[in-house]
Amino acid sequence: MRGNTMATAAEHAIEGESRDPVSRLAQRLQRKYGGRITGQLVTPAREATFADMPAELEPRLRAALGERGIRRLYSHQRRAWDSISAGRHTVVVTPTASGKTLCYNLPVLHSALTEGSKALYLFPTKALSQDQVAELTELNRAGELGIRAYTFDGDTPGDARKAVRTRGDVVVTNPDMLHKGVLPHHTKWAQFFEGLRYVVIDETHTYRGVFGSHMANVMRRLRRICRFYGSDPVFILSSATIANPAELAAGLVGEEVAAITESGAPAGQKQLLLWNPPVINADLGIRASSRSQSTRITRMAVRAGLKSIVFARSRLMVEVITKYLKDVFDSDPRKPARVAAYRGGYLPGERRDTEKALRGGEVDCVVATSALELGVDIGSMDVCVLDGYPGTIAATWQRLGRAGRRERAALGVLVASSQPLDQYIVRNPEFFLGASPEHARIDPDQLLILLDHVRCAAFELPFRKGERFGGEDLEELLAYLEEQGVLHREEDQWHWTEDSYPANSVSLRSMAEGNFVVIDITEGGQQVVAEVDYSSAAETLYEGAIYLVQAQPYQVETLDWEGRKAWVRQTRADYYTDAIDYTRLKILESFDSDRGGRSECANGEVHLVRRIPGFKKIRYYTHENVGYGNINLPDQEMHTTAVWWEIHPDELARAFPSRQEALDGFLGAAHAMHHVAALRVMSEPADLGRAVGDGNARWFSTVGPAGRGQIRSFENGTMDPEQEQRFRPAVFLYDNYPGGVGLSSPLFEQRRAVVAGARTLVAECGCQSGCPGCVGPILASDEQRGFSPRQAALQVLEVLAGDGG
Amino acid sequence: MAVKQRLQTLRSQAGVTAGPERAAAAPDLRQRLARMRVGDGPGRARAAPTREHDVAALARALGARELAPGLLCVDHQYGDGAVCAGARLPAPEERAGLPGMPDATLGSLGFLDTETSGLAGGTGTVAFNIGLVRRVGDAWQARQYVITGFAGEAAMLEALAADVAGLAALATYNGGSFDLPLLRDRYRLHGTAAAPLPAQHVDLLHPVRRLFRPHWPDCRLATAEALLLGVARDGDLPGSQVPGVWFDWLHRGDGARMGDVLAHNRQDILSLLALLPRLGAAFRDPGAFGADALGAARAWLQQGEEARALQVLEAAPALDRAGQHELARLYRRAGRLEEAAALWQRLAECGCPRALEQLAKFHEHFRRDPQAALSLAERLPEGAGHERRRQRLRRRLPAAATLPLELEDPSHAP
Repeated sequence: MRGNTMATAAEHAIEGESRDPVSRLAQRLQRKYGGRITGQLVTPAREATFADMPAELEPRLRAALGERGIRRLYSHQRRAWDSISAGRHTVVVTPTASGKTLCYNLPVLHSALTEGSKALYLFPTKALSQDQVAELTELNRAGELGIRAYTFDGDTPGDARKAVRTRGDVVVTNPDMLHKGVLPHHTKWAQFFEGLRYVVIDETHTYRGVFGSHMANVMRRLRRICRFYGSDPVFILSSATIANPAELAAGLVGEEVAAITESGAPAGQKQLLLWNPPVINADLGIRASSRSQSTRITRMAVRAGLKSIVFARSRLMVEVITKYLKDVFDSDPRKPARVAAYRGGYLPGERRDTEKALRGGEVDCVVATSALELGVDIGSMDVCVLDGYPGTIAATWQRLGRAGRRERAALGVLVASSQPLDQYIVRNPEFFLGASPEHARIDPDQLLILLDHVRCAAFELPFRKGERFGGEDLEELLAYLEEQGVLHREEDQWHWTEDSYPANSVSLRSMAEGNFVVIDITEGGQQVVAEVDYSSAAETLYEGAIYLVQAQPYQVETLDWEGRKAWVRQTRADYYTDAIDYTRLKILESFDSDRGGRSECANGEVHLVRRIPGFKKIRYYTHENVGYGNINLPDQEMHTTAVWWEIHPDELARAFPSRQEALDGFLGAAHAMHHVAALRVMSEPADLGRAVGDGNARWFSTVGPAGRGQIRSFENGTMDPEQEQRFRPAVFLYDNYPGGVGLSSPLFEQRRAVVAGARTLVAECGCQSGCPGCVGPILASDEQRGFSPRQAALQVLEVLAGDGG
Repeated sequence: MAVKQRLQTLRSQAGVTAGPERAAAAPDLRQRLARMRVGDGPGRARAAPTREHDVAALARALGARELAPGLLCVDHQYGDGAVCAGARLPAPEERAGLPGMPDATLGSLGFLDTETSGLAGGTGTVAFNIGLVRRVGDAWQARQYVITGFAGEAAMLEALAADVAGLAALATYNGGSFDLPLLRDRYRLHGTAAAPLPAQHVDLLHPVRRLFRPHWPDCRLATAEALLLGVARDGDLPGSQVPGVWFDWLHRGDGARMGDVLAHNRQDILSLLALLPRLGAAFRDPGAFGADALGAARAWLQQGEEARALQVLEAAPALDRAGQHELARLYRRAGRLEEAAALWQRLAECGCPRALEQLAKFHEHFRRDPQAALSLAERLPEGAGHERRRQRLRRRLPAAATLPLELEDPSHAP
């Protein structure tokens, strides 16, 4: 953030109307809504820093670049060239539109031209691969270089595949295809692997968490195959800004990686506003919804003729905001749509169409999830509105990077929701504006993921004694697979002995298998309108659910859980649906604990059962609850790791007048702790699950319709806490993936900081008795009864912080 | 070491911290995995090997000799005219005579089939049994390699390379998509970039599909040999059980069913040998084999053998509409227009518009009878092309004849 200037709204004097429409919009927002803007950041335009073309650059390539007007390099491009030429794995960290592709195209094309070497490009999605080939082809044509670049993915026709394998100089694919379609058939690619000199990994920051852990293992397999063919490629990575690009890259590659972090590319001025919706009920601390504010800002931007992008945090919210904007701008069905939605779950063709319309400037506004965060080319946007804090600082900057490319001013607005994290950020603007982005974490040795890839690798080539693969004891894993009959040991080798193709049963994107397809039967036909991944199917596709596609509501009529299908019909419902979620946990084992006189915190393995018993119907605009429905779905079970906090029973009795109050305190504390923890371990809040309950799975706790904590069990429904013989509530924060992906151990290390941070958040909140910004929403009746959930939560946090917490 | 150390740490921690209610035995790797897979269904635990791999006993049972460590080989000889499960073996100087296939004598070919650890493909699939029939001296020799462990694979591939060296081509059943790519993969894995296999390949699946797809329930080898050779296999091992036999041997040293695999594989390659000349005959005289005459004719046409294609179609006892069209087309190309017209006439009577059009052309251009041509063209359905033909024909008719038509035809109204 070097060179940035920071100012609060009050300090910012209103200047004369600017000629630039983006600055004009910013000024209007500040004039009209100054009270809502809690902070702002202006990043001034930046001049380019250039460096000479490398002298040794192949002359035809130099000419091709000249043809396209490139006669010198940005400084970071030159540094990348020097590092890569020296044979170092290199990661380039630069903002959007800084010419990062040249960083890898230059060495790749140079060595293809001078040595006939090959390169493999990996993009996280198919769409990006196609953009990349188009760009290479253009450069190729400009210089008549004769380089053959091909995409290889599920869409590559069978008869073209052989040509790609044997003739491609640059093969562009995605990790899934490498994992399922290339590595298990490496003998057909023998020529390619023998000549493989460079592996390019673009959008490296997307390979974190489960996906990244899988990716690191796919890279282990790739390098193993390369060694078999006698090659040892240099890895070139590019990443958006994260705290630890070199560390992440090294985790993926399995070797040290040099990082180039300073961009020499020019950039236009960028202005960021932090926006807190106005308080509409001062007593309850309730603020106007972020979506109403986001919609308002976007309306102003679109009316000012500015291309705008709105990022929402969930697919549902994308649909809701799209509807609100379409109600304004697309009321005439005869005119082409000005507002489009873009999110995961839409069919690829539909997404391509939207991208094209955006590039062509035919659409004025797009509402998207993180699906658009990636380098999908949609042309330049002027205004970027974030509806809610995206969860991480890195993701925030990546999304804001969507607005403003080279030498053009851009405006970003971060609209806070009532979530604690959002509130913390807009109330403490200096924290966000000064903070460095997060670490991207991967855990390539997560046992289940590692085991999956050991199987895939054994299929590809027999393992030899003494070989290494990952951080666990390989021989023990091989022995386990041998016992299962998957492998057969003969002398010093383990061979695959199963009639199966293991890569087919390993999905890199999740730990669970099988996407659900959403089938529209409105017209009597069967048209697939969307896909939903397994992990979110239970909460979005239950029978009776309203499922939105481009703001068009569909109602789920039938869900075939086993067959992974949901049949839906178009509807005109004026409400949307939200699932109710019960989670029960049982502690299986504690690895590590911190016991004090009053409380205890531990880290260990838990068994979790999740049930979605019903859903709420919520009316548009008013957001009132207009009904309930039942859901009949199988319970989902998971074994994972967690950190939990408990208060000793005597202490609990001493600290609280009633068990009910203690329970309310735990629920409020858990709310605050969850959000602080997500910030602390630098994960996205959804990667961590939260629950309050008994560690022996006797009961779990939820907030009942009266706004107070309840305890219930799956068998007995609601129970009376005073009658329960074992009352030892615990706050659980669990790693939301089967087996865990390594979040709970850093969390345990930060246990004190989590409690202390939650305590600060609750103690310093401006509300009276509790609000969504600290302990979660509370009811007006609490206030009248003189009960303060906030006080109860603070009590819990104080005991936890006092010792052992 | 890492896992063990970690487990020890975990165990000691568990001893210190776990309360009485949640004391759990420290998990080893198996338990950790079993727990993580909650909801995955029961894990498969297989019995550990119960006996040693008794290769000598297996070799005795199979009548095989050990060529190299891990590699067994069984040879069977058959004289010309020998009958195997109903398949009569042909003479070596016979030729297959398949259109578009190398026209070599049967004696210069090798008939190959593999038995594999699975059908999934990819480098994890191995051929543990390769069978090859070829001419050796005065007899057909069915040679079968079986590996008793992965150590024997390299020797097997080397021996196979020696056996096929000098053969004009390999004949297989679906080998183009399965057996040969698999063998190439295996050679590549053993360090041989270009598999030492004959460049020419005859895949019998393709001619079978050409000739019989419309008439048979499926085109598997078992169907072909039953219907064309009268082969009846007794107690044959289903192909789906083949991988299991290999795994039984590997995992448990149980080779009881290995003999069944070899018998199955041997019948496959012998059937291939017997099948090839029968297919050649079926291409020349499809009617005699219940084969599709049009399919056979098209195969000949692709080779530029129009006369033979015509002969095949003429000889066919019954031709469907497409077949009749093809025959008429060939008649026309051969200048036998009257015969072509007779066919079109028959088709046109069944209301076939394509035949009507051909017939109209025939009357217009060959018979030079626009009147007859027009009356045929009038029966053609709507369409711009047909309309142009009708207009052209009307223009060529004498004016007197066209006048009343014009009055009646609204399309000619101003």
